[in-house]
Amino acid sequence: MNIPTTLLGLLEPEPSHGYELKRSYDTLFADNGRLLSFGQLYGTLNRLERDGQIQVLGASPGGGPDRKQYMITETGVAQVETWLSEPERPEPMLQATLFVKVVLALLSDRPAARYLDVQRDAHLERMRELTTMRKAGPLSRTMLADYGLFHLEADLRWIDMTAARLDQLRDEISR
Amino acid sequence: MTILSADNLTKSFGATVALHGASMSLEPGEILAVMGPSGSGKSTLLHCLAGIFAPDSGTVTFDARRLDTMSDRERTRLRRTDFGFVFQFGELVPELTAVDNVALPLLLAGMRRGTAYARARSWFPRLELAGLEDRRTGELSGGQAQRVAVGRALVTGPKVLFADEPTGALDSLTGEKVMDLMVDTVRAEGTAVILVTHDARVASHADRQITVRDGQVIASGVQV
Amino acid sequence: MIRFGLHMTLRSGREAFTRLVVTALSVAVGVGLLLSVLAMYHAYRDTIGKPCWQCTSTTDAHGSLLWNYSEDEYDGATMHRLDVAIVGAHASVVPGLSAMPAPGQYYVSPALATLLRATPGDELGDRFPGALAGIIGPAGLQSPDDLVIVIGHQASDLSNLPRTMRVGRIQTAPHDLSTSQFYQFGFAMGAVVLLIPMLVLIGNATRIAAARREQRYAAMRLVGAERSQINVVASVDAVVGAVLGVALGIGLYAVLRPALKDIPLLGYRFFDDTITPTGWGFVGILVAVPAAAAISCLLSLRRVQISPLGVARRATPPAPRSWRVIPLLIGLATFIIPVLASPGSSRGTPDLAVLALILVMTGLMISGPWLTMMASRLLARWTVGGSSLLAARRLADNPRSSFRAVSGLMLAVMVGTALAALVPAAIDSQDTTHTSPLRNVLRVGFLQSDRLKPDPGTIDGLTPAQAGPLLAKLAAIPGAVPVPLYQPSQADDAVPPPDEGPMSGPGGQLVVQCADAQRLPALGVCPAGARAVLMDGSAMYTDNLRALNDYLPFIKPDSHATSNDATRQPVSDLMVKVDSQATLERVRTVLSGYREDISPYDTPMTFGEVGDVRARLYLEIQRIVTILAGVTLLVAGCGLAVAISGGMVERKRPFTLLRVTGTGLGTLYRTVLLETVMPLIAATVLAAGVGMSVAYPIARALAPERHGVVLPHPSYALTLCGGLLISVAIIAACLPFLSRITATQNARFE
Repeated sequence: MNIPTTLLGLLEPEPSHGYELKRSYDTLFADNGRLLSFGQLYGTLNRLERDGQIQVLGASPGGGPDRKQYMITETGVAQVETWLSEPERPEPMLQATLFVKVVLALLSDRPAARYLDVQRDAHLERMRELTTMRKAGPLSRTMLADYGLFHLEADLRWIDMTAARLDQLRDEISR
Repeated sequence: MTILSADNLTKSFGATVALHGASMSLEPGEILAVMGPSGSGKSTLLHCLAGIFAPDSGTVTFDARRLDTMSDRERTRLRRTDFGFVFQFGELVPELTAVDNVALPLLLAGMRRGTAYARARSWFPRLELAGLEDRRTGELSGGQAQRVAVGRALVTGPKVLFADEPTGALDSLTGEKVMDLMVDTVRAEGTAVILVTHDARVASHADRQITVRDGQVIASGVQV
Repeated sequence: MIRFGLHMTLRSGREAFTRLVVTALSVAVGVGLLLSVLAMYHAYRDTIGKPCWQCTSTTDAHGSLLWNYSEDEYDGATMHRLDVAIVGAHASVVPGLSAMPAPGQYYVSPALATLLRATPGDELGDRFPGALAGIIGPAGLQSPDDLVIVIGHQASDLSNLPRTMRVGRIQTAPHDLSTSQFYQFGFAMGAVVLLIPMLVLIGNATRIAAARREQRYAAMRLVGAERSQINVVASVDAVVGAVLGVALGIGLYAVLRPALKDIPLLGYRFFDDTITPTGWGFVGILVAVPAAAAISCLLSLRRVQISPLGVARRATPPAPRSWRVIPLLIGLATFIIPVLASPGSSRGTPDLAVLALILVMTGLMISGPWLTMMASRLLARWTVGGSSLLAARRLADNPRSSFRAVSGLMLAVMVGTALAALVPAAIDSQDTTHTSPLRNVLRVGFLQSDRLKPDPGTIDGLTPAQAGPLLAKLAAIPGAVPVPLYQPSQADDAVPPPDEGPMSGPGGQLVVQCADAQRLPALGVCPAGARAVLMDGSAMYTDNLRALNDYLPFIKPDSHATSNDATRQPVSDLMVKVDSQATLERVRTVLSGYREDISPYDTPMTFGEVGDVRARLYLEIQRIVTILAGVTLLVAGCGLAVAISGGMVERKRPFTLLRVTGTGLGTLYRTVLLETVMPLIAATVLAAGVGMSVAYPIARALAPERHGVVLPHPSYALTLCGGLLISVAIIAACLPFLSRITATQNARFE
């Protein structure tokens, strides 16, 4: 789970207050992992600001961290782009990350389907490696490879299902 | 080098467009997985590549010969000599024994009976079917029937094997075994394979995969 | 490829084998019957083609033969007798004889030889002078039952007999059978009637489970079988079944063969060795049936597109339309109109009638699918429930194949109805069941010149000088009561007939002595005191006993008595009451001495025998017709069973699926029953109607004017219902098969 880039992705469509960011994050992804704590949120935002990926637009009267509005920078957008378009290393338990990527892509009108295709290819490539491995090795390695294969297969099924329902998902999150 | 290629194929069945500008190519000895959701046109692509029917437009080239303009008779002959087929349900001739089925393409090609049967029988041990030669199709398990189908597809020494969901009707373990045997055998024979499947595990036996979506090939593996 | 086809046909497991067996058996039934018909036809052609030496009638003043031909009766059979003398060199020889008999010798047919050995001389043998010289061979006979004798005489014995002719050449042309056209027509009808259900049966048999076979061909196409190779394999399959069927059919023919020789098709049996389909017939069947099977198989393959991916019907056949009834209507019109147009002739022109019949039968076949569709609509409208829905859908979906199952039976019903309507009419018009009080009375007419145009050369009847000894001899036979009928004298001729008799006019009047008449009460009672009376005897020579009875008694209370001594007049006719067959034959033996004086048209027969001759003909027709209808029904039943079983095999998969998903076997049974019985009933009603319309005009033409058209006997309705019940039974008998093929434990889908 890449929380900094996720926050960048959420900021990409429009500038936002920290409080709104937390609410978006929790609404979209809380089922996926844990709620985002305020400590984690502001810590991360500070780091992003320090790295030049976001900038503070200005604070509303009243001061305090809640009052700051954040906006993504060029560097931040590039970071989001890179993260989305690079497939994740195919390994078990990726769903949370893949899901975030899809949602962020949809939010920013990026080609989500394409990212999924790239991810699918990465998965298949890994499956081919595992298939080769399981054929060559002893039964113990075969079984290990099978474990990986079955999980990757589950990911792939999820990718296929998601790819087929992107439009529905877009409608849902843009509501 | 390319042994089989398709360029800009279109094919419609009535109002349904199955292929809409599909292109692909296959190298000799290569195993190519064709993936895609149901109804994407992947089976139609296979049927066009195999000369089972001609595309509405576009070209199919096999071994420098144009398949799309060939007569049905020539395509039939080509299917017999240069192509092999393994489909989901084996498509074995139910009334014949296993060895009859394997010998069938050879007999159709006019080979002498003794030779044909000797050659057909030689395939049974390779496919771990020894002893089942004289079983009728109905007396074989699904996995055995598919292996007989593999034998029947490869007995003529084809250049390309067309497999359409070859394990679609089998459980994982049986399917895996059929795939292993099939892949081992085609590797040994140097046969190229078009492997149509929606199953990633099956596709992972391939060297490369392409995805068909909405009648078009989305080339992948390498981004284009 | 042919070898491979053979391999596929013969070694392809149980289902293929069963199909082969059913095909072969069905073809066998058809071929066996076809061969029988051919054999009978050959025998018939052979028989009617034989030279009719009895018909020799061309006189030749320089001929070398004296020829005296006459006919006689024995026990209901006609005997042909030729008295012959050689008067010149190089005399022709009667066919079947090695040489003409020398004076004092005779040749007889085998049947007559047997009879002569078994019968006392005074009943038969004494009629023929001379000694047995030999047996007449088949060349001179029409039937092994023929009673024929050729007797040799001195020329002087024959030369002055009035009926003797001098002939040079014996006739070699066949008998110009007036009935031959009728029999040709009958044969053609019989062949058509048998052939069409047979073709339906063979067609159904070779099409069993065609869809499953086509699936198999698709698999072969996938691995690179060319269309032509598929055609070869399919043809081999059909041909093997057909050849096997022909072989079995020849076996069946061999079984039927002994029975054929006892079928008196023309009223007598055929020579055993002429009953053969001939070598060409066998070869023709052996070639034609498999060829037809192959052709029909290829035609049915043309209708489907067998691609490597499976079988696609070229197109869903459009629903049958109402034009399909047109050929039937045209056929009916062709059949009925000529008959109605000329009520006088009982059967229009045979050629046209055969054509019309073929048109009617094919018309029925063509209109069937349309009818089936209409029936399915009714079924859908009137019924509720799963099975009727399934059945109605199936019928509406493919009325052609549903109809095909019942088509044979429908033809059988049509033929049966037509016959059932015809036969009672024909039989009734003859009224063979009537017995007459004159049944055991022999009557014989003596040669007469026409009294209006007297021919000086002929003797009128038996002169008193001849009649006296004859009457004495007859009276001496125990059990024989002769009653002579005399010619009226000139004076009696003046008396007008009392009433308008059936054929009255001058010459109808005969004189009978009242003393004689008393011994034959059926003639009637003389007015008191009369010695002799004039009576109208013109009805004596009708062969219709019913008509005869209408004119009895001949002596009416108002019959004119005559006082002239009748015994001085010539005897015109003679009645002899006999008490037994032996007495009858003895009487005939005595009469054979007077054969020169007996009118050739009025040979000595009892009234009973005269009636029986006609009755026998009609009984034979009825028997043949019954056999024909039965065989047609049998063939049609086989066709039905084959079609139903085939239909079930074809739909094994959907039926099994229905069963797997919980449809009760009962529902499936009801479905199959409904979808078969509905077209069956529709077809039966139509066929019965058509049969009636075909038969009615003929029946009307056959019916004598004084009798109306006779409706089919109630037994017809029973037969029809029985036939329907049998069909339903056949269908029901096929149902357990359905249970077996759809058993869920066998639910494996290749």
